[in-house]
Amino acid sequence: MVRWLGIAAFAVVIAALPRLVPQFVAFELTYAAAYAIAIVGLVILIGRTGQISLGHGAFVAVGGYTLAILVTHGVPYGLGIVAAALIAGLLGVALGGIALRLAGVYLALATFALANSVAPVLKRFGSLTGGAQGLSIPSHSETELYYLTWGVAALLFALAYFGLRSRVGLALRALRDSEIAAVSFGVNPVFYKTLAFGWSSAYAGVAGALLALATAYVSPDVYSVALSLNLLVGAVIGGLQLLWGALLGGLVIQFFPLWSQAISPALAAVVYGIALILIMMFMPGGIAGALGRRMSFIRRGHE
Amino acid sequence: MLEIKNLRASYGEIEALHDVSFHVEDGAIVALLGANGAGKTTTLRAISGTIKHSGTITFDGVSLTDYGPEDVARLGIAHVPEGRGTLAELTVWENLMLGGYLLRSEPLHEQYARVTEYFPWMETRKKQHAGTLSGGEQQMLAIARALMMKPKVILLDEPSMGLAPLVARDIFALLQTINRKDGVALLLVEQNAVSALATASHAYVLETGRVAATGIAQELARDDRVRRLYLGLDPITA
Repeated sequence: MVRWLGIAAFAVVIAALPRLVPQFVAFELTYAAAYAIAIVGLVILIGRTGQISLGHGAFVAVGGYTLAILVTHGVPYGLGIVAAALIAGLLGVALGGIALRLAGVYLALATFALANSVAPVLKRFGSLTGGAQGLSIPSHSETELYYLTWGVAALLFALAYFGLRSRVGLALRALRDSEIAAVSFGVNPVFYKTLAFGWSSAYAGVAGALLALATAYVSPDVYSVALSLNLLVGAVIGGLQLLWGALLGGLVIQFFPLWSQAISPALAAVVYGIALILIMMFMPGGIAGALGRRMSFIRRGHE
Repeated sequence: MLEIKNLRASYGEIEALHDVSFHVEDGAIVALLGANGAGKTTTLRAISGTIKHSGTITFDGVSLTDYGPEDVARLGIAHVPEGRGTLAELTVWENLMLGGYLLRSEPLHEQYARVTEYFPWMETRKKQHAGTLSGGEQQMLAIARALMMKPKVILLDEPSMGLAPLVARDIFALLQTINRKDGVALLLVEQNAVSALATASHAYVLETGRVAATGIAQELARDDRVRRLYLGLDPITA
């Protein structure tokens, strides 16, 4: 009950914010929502399934370019977002097939290599991708982008919430905690691990499409390794085990660098780094983990 | 219904089982006894399909030779591994749902109601994480989780390990009740020979990968030679 009231209150705040805050803040919140969608993918993959990916940004790139190519060929952006989810998801399934043979640091390295290969591949196929110059996309009003991105985020959060509570979510967590035990009760590890990669990558694809729409532009250098690492930072800082940690993660990677900049332009990266270290020291389960503990403490206090 | 013939299994170069044969009748409780390293756990692993083996294992006439753990589970053989194997991060309820993973929704809920009749505390504490349960409770959860898949036989690896004697006694009593009421056969691997023989109808004693003695559980429990040589118990002086 308290949870649903909280969600409803949050929805009202999000819906009202564009009227209350300066337009550039609303625009930054659009980015935060798109990052949050990508980070939900990491919560599913790393938090719930226990497979590490340093290449999430590659699927964001696939989503962004899918949308950009389709929209510049006259396809409506709604279809472009769906196509971005499908193509990124299918590539994720393909990578998931490889990931079955790798675990731990080896999987991390393989996905890291993937993240590194994005920019060269995009530059190589210039006739389709516009090469190093990238592609421009017709721009949309900032209000439209804000509501579109937050609306899609709400839909995908709900889908992840119910999906992770279902048999599928149970199978994923069982595989993460003990593959032997899960298999002995009839959970098919090949199917579910591949599914987790596909699901996670589809979310990255949608995030990429929405980011591309918001920026009205895609270029190879946007999708550097730094993007993948940044998303991972957001997931860990927000809280890998909790879905709403992804929301906090999206806000953190969007706003913390800006605030660091405001505190000290010369030492922005240092301030950002110190903030991340402090959060990890005092909130090992991420911000969501720490807040969740605090709230369950308050709830117990009432009983 | 579960028939093991000339079973051999190795870990790398070392052969752990040389030639083990025994069977478990429908609805029986069979104990597999022996010292550390006798091959008890290896036998259970071979049956549940988690290690390679030669020889034949048949279940209700079906040969399990090429079956993986998932297929063995589908046939109705549940395995409660050594050290319980409950998933600490999952709640009691989630552990039970994992046990019933192969059941459809309606039989799943029926089976849940049936299993929690044996363990009423699981219903009231279903949201508790399994990692926060006591050792005895975790063992009960492991047994309940195996029951959730409506098995025909449960392989139990040292259910009394690391438990206080009173708790272990409760577990053995519960296993007998479950066997009687649900008709599920139990293959019980134990170091605690006295309790195991008091619970089982038949028993096999393994020694370094071979069956060294076999018989009715109560008779083995009174056989001085078996007691002294294989079970590490004092002879009965009466």
